[in-house]
Amino acid sequence: MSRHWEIAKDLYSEKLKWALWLIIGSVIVKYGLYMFGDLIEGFDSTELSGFISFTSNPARIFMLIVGLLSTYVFLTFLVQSGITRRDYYYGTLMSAIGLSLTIPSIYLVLEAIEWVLYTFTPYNFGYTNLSSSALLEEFVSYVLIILFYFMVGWFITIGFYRYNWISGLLFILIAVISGMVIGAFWGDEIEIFGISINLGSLPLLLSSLVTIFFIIALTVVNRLLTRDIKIKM
Amino acid sequence: MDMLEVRNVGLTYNDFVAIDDLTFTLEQGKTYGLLGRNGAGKTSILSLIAAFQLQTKGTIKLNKASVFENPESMQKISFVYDQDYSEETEKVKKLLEATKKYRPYFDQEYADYLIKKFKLPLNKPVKNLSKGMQSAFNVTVGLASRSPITIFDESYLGMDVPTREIFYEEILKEQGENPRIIILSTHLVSEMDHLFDEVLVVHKGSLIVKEQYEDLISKGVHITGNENSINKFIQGYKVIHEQKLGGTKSALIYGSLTEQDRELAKKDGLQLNPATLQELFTHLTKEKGDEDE
Repeated sequence: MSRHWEIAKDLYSEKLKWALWLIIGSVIVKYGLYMFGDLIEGFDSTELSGFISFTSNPARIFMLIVGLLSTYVFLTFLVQSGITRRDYYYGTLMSAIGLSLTIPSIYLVLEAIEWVLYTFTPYNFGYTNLSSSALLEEFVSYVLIILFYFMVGWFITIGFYRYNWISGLLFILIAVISGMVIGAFWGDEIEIFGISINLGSLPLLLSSLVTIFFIIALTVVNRLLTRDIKIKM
Repeated sequence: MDMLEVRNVGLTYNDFVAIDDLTFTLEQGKTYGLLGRNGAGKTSILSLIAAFQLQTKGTIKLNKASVFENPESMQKISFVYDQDYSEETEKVKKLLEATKKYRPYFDQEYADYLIKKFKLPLNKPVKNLSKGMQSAFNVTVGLASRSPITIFDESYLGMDVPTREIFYEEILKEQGENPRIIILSTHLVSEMDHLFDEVLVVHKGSLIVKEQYEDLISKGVHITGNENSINKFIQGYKVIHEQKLGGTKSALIYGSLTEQDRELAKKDGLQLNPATLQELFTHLTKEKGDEDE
């Protein structure tokens, strides 16, 4: 097995362990809300959505954090263990792609289980009766957005690791702006200096292409910034 | 045979020259003592060898292949330094296993032996170990990894004397059984000099000495006696330290004494004593203002 596949496998399984906390946590929260949510004023448990849309925001934050941790937790350790920056980079990138596909796949399975329960039992845990094409759309956007969040988190800490904290702040600024742009392309209403931008609902292909463009740009930039990065001691 | 070649290597940060044109070769089976004062550039040199950063100029090659970003070379180099473990929640056992995974020459049996010797608690988070124990952990990783190039940069910090003795014994034993290139960077010169086959002294980013330990030691001689006789005797020699007490003077000269001069010294009633590595190091790297301290 080539070295970066080995690193990718190790990083993927390590991060998947972290992801299990997200998944278990989201299951607990969702069913907690299903059972006790009505105690919260203004909350309607019948409005609970399926796992994919229920977890889209937490999964973004999770992937942002995993991306943020990818530099400080693994870079020094791996290079110190005799692994090249190149193998670290490809390992990290592939583990992120793997994770971005795995998390929504697990949720998809959970949604399928909910669908079975909804079909054969009187329970409806917030399964939304999506047509398969809508579900596919949700899945694609989910994968792309969380991968983008990972890449942007990784990008921020590379900035801090490679340069000083002032430059790090600049990396955060770039990350926030790109996050807003991506958000706008997926229908979020963005407000900058009191000016609100609402691109409305755009075709999936366009939003996906813009996100892919940002992911590729970050992929290139992150490699350029890490290819000769000085290891912190 | 493994050979590390450092050729015309320089490292510059903006305008600051951390390392200036270093050239030397290290060979398998030898233990090298890297000495230098604080800020002399020791850690910079070591971090370049370990590919922790890229030199601004020159080449570093292991067996003719460039080290930086070369997977074959990089996995042959272990750099043990005083790491900050304040955030390391992983337990000793787990961290050791994680390291082992990427170290092709790692010897588990030897690691177990070292763990016992250093009395390392396997189930304790590394951050909760004492400073000395963290150093012992680092040394265990470095020794058990059996990397063809193993660098210990002040790896003894916080270790008590008996623990340091274990470390020194193991280095001697390892070089006998599994010879590799070992580089020891240290401030504890007098304590560790018996380990060195060769000594490298760095001063202000330049290599000022690279010699076999025995050859270097034989060059340092204290000559003590009557001030006038000493003054006459030392002419033509490089004097790196002088001391006077009443009419008696002692001079530390650096350079091989001729047989003729040894006879002459005896005849003049001058005392000749060998210098220690620590003395040579101290006076060779002396800077202006040091005398006042």
